[in-house]
Amino acid sequence: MAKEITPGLEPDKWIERYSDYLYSFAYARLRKEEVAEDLVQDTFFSALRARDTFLNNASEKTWLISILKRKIIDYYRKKSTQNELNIFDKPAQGSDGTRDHFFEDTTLYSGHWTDAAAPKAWKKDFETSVESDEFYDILKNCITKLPEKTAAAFTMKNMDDLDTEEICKELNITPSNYWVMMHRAKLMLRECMEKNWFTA
Amino acid sequence: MALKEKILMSCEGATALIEKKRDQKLGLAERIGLWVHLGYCSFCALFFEQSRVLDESARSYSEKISSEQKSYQLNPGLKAELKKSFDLELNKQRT
Repeated sequence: MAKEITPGLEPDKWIERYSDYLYSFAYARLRKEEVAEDLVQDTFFSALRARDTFLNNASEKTWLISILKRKIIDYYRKKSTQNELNIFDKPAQGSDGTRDHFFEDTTLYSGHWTDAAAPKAWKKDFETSVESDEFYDILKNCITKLPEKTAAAFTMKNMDDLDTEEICKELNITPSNYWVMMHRAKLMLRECMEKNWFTA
Repeated sequence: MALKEKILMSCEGATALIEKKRDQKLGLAERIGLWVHLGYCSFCALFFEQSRVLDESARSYSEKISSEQKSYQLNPGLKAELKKSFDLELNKQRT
């Protein structure tokens, strides 16, 4: 006779019930089909192996999402040990190794906005922006354009509500690395959104 | 860093503090320096406001995608394959 699986869990229904849900969750954050697909598959198999840790009063869906979240963080962490560590050696530089274009580096005007990067007044406001699907598409694209680890930190902070300490631990960076990254992230995102939405 | 440099900060320093301020309390010299800077630098004053709008936008985007979880679909071919290998694993575990 078939052995009863943990009460409250119906793994034979998981794929049908939750695969689109988990995939949407992962894809919305990672913007990479293949990676999202892999993580979703992993999640189901890990959940099956870890089914004894499921508490009967929890929801199946919430439990599966918590496993997927863990996988997403592991993915970010693996990514972050592979590349981009060099940008922290020289905080004032862009990820391509040249000093980025936001601020002047001439002695006289050191640290002042460059003409090209100085913020402009925006034509659209927040309330009208958030009513438009196009606004979210542009925002998503601008986040995707950030260097990968920077995008990971930004997403973890602003979308997944992790605290700074947790993010530093997961990405294996110091708080000062983190501040540099968030500063750069905001400068890049602001410029991208200004060009493509707020003054477009 | 000398106190003078802390108070008379550059735009690069001011924008870095604006971001830091979202997460933790600034020291007294930092607060005064930022306040002074924002008083005379209209670019950084714009940045200050726009940075807040961007944070709110990201939050709003996050809420939108969690309320529209079905907006994407796992590739149907892959889903079928996954179902097959998962059922196999499930049967193994059950016997």
